[in-house]
Amino acid sequence: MPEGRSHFAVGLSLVCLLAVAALCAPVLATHCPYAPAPEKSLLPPGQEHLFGTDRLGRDVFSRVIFGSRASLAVGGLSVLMAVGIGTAVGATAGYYGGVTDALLMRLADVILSFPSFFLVLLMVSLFEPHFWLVVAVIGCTGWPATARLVRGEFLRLRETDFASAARLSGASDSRVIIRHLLPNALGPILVSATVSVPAAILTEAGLGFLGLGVQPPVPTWGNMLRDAQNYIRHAWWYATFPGLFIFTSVFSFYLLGEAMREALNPSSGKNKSYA
Amino acid sequence: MCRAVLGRFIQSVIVLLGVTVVTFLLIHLAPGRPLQANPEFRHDPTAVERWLQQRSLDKPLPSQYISWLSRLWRGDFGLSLLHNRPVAQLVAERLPATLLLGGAALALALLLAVPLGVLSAARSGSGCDRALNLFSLACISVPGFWYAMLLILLFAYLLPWLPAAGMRTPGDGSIQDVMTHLLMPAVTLATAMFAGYFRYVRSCVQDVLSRDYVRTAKAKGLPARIIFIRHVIPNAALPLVTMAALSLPLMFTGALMVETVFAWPGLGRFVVFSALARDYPVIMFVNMYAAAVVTAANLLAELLYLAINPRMKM
Amino acid sequence: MSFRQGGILLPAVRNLQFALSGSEALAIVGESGSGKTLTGLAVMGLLPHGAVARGRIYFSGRMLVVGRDSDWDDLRGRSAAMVFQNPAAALNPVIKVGRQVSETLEFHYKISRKEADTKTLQLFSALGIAPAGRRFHQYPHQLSGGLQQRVMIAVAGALEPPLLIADEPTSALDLTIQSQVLDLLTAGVRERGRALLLITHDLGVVARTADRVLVMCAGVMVEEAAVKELFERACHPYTRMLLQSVPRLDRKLSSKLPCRPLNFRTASGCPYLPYCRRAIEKCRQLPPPLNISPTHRVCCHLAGGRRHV
Repeated sequence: MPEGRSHFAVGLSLVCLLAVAALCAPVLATHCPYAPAPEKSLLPPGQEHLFGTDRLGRDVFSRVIFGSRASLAVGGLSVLMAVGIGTAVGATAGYYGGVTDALLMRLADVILSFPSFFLVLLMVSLFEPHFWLVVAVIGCTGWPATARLVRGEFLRLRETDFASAARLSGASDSRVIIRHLLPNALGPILVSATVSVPAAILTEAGLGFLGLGVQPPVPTWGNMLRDAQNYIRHAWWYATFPGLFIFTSVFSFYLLGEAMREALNPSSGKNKSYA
Repeated sequence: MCRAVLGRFIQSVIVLLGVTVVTFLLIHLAPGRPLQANPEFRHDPTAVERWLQQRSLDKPLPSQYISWLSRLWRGDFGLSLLHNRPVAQLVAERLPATLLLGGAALALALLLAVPLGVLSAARSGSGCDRALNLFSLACISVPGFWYAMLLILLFAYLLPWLPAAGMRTPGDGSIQDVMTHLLMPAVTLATAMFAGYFRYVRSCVQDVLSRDYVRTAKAKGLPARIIFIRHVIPNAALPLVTMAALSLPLMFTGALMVETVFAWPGLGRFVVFSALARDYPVIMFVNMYAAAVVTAANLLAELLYLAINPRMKM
Repeated sequence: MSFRQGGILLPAVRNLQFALSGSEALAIVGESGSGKTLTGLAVMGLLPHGAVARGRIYFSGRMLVVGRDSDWDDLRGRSAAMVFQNPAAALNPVIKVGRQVSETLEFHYKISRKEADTKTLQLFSALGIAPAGRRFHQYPHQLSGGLQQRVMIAVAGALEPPLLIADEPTSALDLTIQSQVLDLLTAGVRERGRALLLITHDLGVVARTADRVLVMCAGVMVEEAAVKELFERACHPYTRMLLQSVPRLDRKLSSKLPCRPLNFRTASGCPYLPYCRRAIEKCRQLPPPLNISPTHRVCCHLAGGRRHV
């Protein structure tokens, strides 16, 4: 499907571009993202300051570039955590079934029954805001979706002949799970991870916007928007550029995820429509 | 079928009990005491002791949980630390504003998403379908609070057509006034909802269109219009009804970010303020309330599915 | 006829030519993926999206261009109808089965719903869907596989179409039900002068139902003959292999079935070439059909003149 391929290419290159920007932030940034320069506060975009300056005279471009570090790191690490927990829980529940399954899945139901941002807000507000807290909270609330997915795959896979064959030949449970079943569930897990990253980025930005995310002076897209909120009327660039970066990164991850889903499941809809 | 309903009901009750356990544990495992918010306690250590004893907060955790649960059962959800008033009352006062915003956004999103989703699926692969698909991806990628800020910049400051914040102009009680305040928050909220619904509707209809019975209907010589109305829509309606039921909680729990940016006096903004002020009784109550609403909607969705799916009637 | 996938055209059926007249049952036989079903769908103008097809079909004096589905708009249902492979999937799960038949009558004959329902009840009784009155108001999932297929036949036969295409009509059914369903289909041919195009992989079904057989292999016709002739004097090596692969109690399975899928990608050449023990240089080009007798065509360079090899 050429459409899916172009989505994949665009999504992947944008994601790579952002990753490069985050890694090479010190090289790409034109100014120090921390040093205030009160005499240059709220300058509009121009030659010297590509995206203008903020209320303390800091260069918005440099701060946005440095801000991508926090956003991508929170997105990546929290999803790694969520997918890790989700896969472990889902695999255990799906493979063993019975009481184990019922208990684990009810726990997942409990977590899922909180509207997503509510639970995050509750947990974050209990502790001092901190980078690792944000990662842990998003990770701890994000796993049930992956767990359900992996459980479903495992319920199907454990009935397959190759799983029975492995069991009958004396392989231990953990070996069957890790060596035989998990590789077959990897595709859906990867897709679910890819579409979880943008959700985590949005959540992180939301927390930053409320002042509950990674704390200033470390720049993040979320806390930059929080700063910009009161200057929206007089300095359009202040809020526009961080938001544009959030949008672009989230969009490219969704594009990538969508293309991957289609590649994994080519028979879905599209080609086969009768009316 | 009665057994299935009963089973689902019991499951929901278990999940809700789990919700109370999780909420309780989270609050009690947190470091520090939830008292900084109230200035009364800052200078008087004995007041803290008295306060703790009054609420039996000096007993072991399980017995605290039991007594807390029994108070919940009696409808005593505690007092807000910040306002010193019953939590449930504070929430109830803010519910109408949230219902209005959530309902308007939900209606707007569904009214656009259902017809466009059906259209997109019917013209699957066409330019229109691709454009709508990309547009919907863009809609879920936009951070709501940023989008809200841009709307305010555009429609409240550059073109001063709409009020930037609040629900009504002081001294003006007209419905028209509320509507102009409602417009921007509702559109912001509806944008994100629209994207989700659109994608769901589109994939449901696409799925139905690929079924053999649609081919059968075509082989019977029925025209496309009749096939769509009689064979496609009724089958696609099943998951769509479920979707509608599952989105009801959005109306009741409020939109945290959008309400905050637009200073909409609803539940969402209240939750954010309470979280920032560490008003624990409020956060606990709102979390449990939201979980209860979601669980109830899940139950409703499943019952509706049972009720309208002919395959379930024997 | 080809499929477009990722910019490449995958040929599915090529150079197929056959004729079918009233009161005749033609069976198309071949293994999975040989293009039988696609042929049936092409005759109905129901090719799936993504199929790129060229060809002509002459239907009682009218020319239809394959791939231009609108050519069929006034023919489907009334002049040609199709019984699909899996009745459980081919019937709409949320509409009562009676209604699925009567809506066709109602639309095509422009009659009232009540009249259409009465006609449907008569049709149900005639097809052995009993008790008709109760079955009418049931949903597909409440019926057994055999009854579902009878309903499917009622749907297809409601308008008395002169051409009926049946795609693996009995594959999903028990053996005892199979013969009842086949009897219903052949009754239409014998009693009403209908033409039947039967698509199947089951040679037993062919033997008891069809008048003529067309054998397909990897998208091309390899042999066509009257049933008796084909079973007794098959010429093409593929047909013979097919016939020998039917398990029989009095004989050991001797021939080796090709275990790789037959080659679709070769644009020219006999599809059976890689497995044929007697292949010669000429076989790299697709052989033209050779008329051995007025009722027997075969596509094999080696078949000519050697009728009893």
